[in-house]
Amino acid sequence: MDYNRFWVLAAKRLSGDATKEELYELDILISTYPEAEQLLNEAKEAWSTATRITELQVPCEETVSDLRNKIAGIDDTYIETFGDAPVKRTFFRKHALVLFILIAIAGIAAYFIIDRSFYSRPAVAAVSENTVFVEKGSKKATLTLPDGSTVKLNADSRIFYGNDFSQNRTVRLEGEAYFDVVTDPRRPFVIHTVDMQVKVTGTAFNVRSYPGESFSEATLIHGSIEVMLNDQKDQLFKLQPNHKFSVTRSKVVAHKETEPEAKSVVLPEIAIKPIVPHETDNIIREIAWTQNKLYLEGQTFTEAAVLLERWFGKKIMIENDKLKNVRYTANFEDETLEQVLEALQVSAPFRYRIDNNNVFIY
Amino acid sequence: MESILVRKEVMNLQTKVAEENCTKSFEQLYHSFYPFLHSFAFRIIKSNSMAQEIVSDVFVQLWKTRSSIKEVVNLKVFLYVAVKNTALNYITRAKNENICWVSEFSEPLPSFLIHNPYLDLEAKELRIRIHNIVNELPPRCKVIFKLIKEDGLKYTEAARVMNLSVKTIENQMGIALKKIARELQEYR
Repeated sequence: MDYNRFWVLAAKRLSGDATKEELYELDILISTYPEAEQLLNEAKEAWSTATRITELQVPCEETVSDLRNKIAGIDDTYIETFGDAPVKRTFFRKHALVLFILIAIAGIAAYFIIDRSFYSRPAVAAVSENTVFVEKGSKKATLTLPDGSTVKLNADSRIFYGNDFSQNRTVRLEGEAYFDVVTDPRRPFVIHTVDMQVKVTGTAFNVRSYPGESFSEATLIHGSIEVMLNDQKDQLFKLQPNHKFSVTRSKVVAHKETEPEAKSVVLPEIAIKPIVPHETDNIIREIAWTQNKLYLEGQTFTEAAVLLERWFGKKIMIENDKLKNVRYTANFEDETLEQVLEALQVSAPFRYRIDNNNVFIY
Repeated sequence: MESILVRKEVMNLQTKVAEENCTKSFEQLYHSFYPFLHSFAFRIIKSNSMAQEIVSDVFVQLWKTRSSIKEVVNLKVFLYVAVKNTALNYITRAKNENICWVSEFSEPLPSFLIHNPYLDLEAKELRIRIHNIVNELPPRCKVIFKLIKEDGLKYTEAARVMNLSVKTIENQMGIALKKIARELQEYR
């Protein structure tokens, strides 16, 4: 076997850069030479373990000021334009008095902490919002924020933070991220998502709130966090480690057949559940993505397609209606999209065609 | 692999900067690209503060020539190339002027590696070991590997950044993968 050619093909396959012909060529090698399969497994393991180990740094205020000063040096209109940019305030500015009430009930840890000033502080400070985004289908990125906290962003996720982050540790999240927050009781860390806010002082947890999904979740691994719903601000939920808070979005449901004019509002469903690592592999599903593992647990093909689209960054179109409701349970780690589809084909046969950024299932 | 949506977002920002001199869009681009460009600069220049300066310089230049960036098809590659050239210039200047700056070699381990309760000791040691192996790859091979694996560049993009043929990128990736896989097996 031509080893050099093997390694070149294997690398292209693992990084997603292989053409169809190259994938086919590699398949031929594997079926012809028994050791090729073994080597490919070793290659897969090497690829999945060689993740970025250093964190990505987000520019801190000093760095940004430095940039602005340099530009102002050659273009003195720069700072002025910036200073006049419209201020974006998405939250009301009132600072209510801070009132802490801690109620401990013997044997049961149930706390209500009322601290409205943090929730009423504007999410975006008077300067501007900065964004870091991770696109669909790409490797997850871990960022270090100016206070030393780290955020690991899943695919198709965005995080927004203000220039004054060091004083006001507030971010806005669209998508999914695993946070490891540096302890500082004087500066609570607040994460705003479309339906809820999560406040922490120092801890490790996962927040999932994709605009396209019908629910939001916060999973606490260690430390403590408080969750408040954006449209039910009188209630705070404090989580204990190894618990998960989830809320399904409220929606307006129209009754079509019986009363065409009547509409009812389905209220958001809230649940706090203990999380249980899986019995077979001991992995916590909610943070499996941080270890590059993708789990399907009885999702229909349509639901799975959304997850796969996000994971691989390609649009998936299911043209076979019968397949849409077939349910799949599987787990993947560093397989390519083709390998995943092949694995799914085993339970319910179908054909697929991949053409650039689109996948057709029929 | 990029989603078409994000490419569009970047193009929108590019246009706003080029046509409307929009400083907000400009800083948006800065914040989005900074982490990756800084990491790339660091690989070449091995100094955190130098890397910051380089990315800064590249963006100052970008603002200076902003009217022409609307035509740039792939801003990501454009910026990577600019960072590379700026970094190499720094190194050449330093050699010629006999300047020597202290390389900051410390790359602290990220906290998610230390505190992650679901990564046992063996897995952590393995990750660190692989990280060391990658760091010991021949310099050009290492930069290429990181561009593809860590930064998510396509082979064609990496080829343009490094000013090499795609064939060379393919070969270097093959070499890197072989080396890492072999070392991993030996460790076992």
